[in-house]
Amino acid sequence: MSLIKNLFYKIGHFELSIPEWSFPDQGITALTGASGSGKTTILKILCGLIPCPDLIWEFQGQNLADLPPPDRKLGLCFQDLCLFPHLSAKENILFALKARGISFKEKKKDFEEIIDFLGLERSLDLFVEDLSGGEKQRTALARALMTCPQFLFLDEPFSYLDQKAKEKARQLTVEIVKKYNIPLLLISHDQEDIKDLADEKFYLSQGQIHQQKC
Amino acid sequence: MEKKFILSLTLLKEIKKNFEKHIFSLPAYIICALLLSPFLFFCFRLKSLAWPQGQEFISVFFITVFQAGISTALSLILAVLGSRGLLSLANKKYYFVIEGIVLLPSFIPPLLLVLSLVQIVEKIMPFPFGLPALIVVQILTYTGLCSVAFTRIFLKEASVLSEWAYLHGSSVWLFLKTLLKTVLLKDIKTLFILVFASSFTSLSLPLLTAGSSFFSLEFFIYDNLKNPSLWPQALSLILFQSGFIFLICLWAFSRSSPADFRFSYKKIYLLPQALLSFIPLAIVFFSVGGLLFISDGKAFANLLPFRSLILSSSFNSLILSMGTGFLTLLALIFMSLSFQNVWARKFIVSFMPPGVSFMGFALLVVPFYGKIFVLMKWVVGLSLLLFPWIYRFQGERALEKLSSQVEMARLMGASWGLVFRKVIWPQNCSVFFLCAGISSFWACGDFAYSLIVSSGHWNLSLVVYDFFSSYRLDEAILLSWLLLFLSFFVFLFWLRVSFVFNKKFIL
Repeated sequence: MSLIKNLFYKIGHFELSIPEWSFPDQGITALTGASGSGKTTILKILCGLIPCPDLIWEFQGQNLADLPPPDRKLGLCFQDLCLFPHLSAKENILFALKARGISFKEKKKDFEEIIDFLGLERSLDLFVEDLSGGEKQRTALARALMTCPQFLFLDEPFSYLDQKAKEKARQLTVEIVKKYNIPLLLISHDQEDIKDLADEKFYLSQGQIHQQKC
Repeated sequence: MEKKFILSLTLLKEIKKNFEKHIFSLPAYIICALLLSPFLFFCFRLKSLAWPQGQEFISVFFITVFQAGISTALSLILAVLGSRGLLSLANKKYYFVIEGIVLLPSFIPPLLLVLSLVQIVEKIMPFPFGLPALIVVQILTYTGLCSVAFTRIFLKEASVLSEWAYLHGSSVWLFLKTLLKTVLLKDIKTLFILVFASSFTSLSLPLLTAGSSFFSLEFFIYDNLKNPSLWPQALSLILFQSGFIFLICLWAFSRSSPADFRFSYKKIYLLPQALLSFIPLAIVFFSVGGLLFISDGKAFANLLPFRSLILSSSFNSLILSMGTGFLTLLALIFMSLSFQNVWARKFIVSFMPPGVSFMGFALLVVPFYGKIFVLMKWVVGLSLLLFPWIYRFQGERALEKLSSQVEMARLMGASWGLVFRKVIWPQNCSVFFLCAGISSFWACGDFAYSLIVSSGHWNLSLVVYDFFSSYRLDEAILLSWLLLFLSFFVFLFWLRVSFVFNKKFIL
């Protein structure tokens, strides 16, 4: 289990008060809630982008909250995907390796496997603006997977996709979790996402987390 | 033993991380220190402050408030009318050309603007140097900029609202009143403060138009700074001037906008407004039109004896403007390297640079007087005067735009060096080069700062000023074309460099 303690955050009238929250360290855990309820804030706190001094995040015998954000080894895919628009899809994916000082040679096999798995062969040389919504999303996923993260965070990952692409993307997400055996925290307010994907469901309301029955 | 080894390894890793963090924060601190340095140089030389004796200061202060207030109010009124005209042309294909032309008076060197106005007025009557001339010149300088700003604000904020109001049958008056109260008031306030502060602290326009009278506090400070025994008094005035502008900003920006105002819709009818676009265009005519004609056919021949002076001063102008552009570029690179230093970025955005005269004299007291040092002080001073404005209006926006990408890159574990090389620089280099170009363009046309720092005809704008002040307008106009050519040349140089860099990244 992944155990989070002392997640307290307050800014203006907005408040998050989560003394303890545990969720499985495998499969897909979904966090849902109304717009503005603080789902993305929780994600940013867990990533280390928003400071939360008393936070404890016990994961596989380690307190991740003690580590600086890059050392937490998280794979991230935000709502706006945060791809670098001046780079090609391939360069975007390889940036993850450069960032950690890993040579391409070392990870060439993994790279080819991920590209093949996500069906990105034809779009590798395209710039971000020339990619379709689905290709952008898969590029962001490939970038997140490149450095073998120990946890994957997806924040409203399918919101810009049409219905058909959404279904494909959901299927792909399930396959990723199975193939790479990475626990995934999915943040979404789309009930279909939750219904199709989640093994565990949590609901965020008035700054507190409640478990929902699947 | 093994435990000790792991511990020292962790410690080394920690030191490396902290070192990187501090090293990449340093460039922004250097920029902040440089921006504050004129104050420090001056304060070290002075042991005391002294308040000006007599009534002169009070009358200068009130006359400055009056002229700046009147200029600002009239500029904004004309700009509102002008923007109604521009709005009627905003959907035309050639609108960007009109916008560029209307902006000209705000971007050409003040010296050329005054020269043009004097040339036109002199055809009808002797130019009335003094307070009215100062107010008119300030109106000419700022109306175009404000017209374009209003048009853009209106297009951005009001176009959807106007359609909505039209559908609900609101009258034009009610619509504008509502828009003013709910949306535009904040922007009008911002523009008012910007124009007021610029008029209040301007040195070049009073120098050119006011004769020897003190119609501006900045001019009064400049006069005090010329006499070393009055430096304590000048410093008090500088502090007073900065404090006054700061308080005005604080007053204007801390007050909240009035509460929502509800429409009661009747009927909207759009008047033909195109005629009003002649307001900003007429202003352009007075601001640059005078440069288009010369009355003495021998003006060119009259300049021939000065050719070596013109050549050397043109060369110095080139060095000065290229140097200023280069330092601006360097400062922007420094700020990008220190992307994570939010404190320094906020400081520079809110930093009000000191007046031209203060900067000039502050650098004069720095004790190096060799030719190369004078040139360095010149370039550094102009860069310090221009950089906060350029950073506020372009640099910070360019950096802020990338914040989510930088955040993502850092989460992936990228070092600040890699973030700069792979994320910030490739996407922002064209903006940075454009800023360097603008900075070079302005530096080339500057004369007020140059007048303080150097003596004689060191650069071309000083030569133009000299011809202007000896009333040889035709010669001054001919040289002003050369000055404009040089300014555009350096601007285009930076754009060309930007093109080369962009191409490199795209290929």
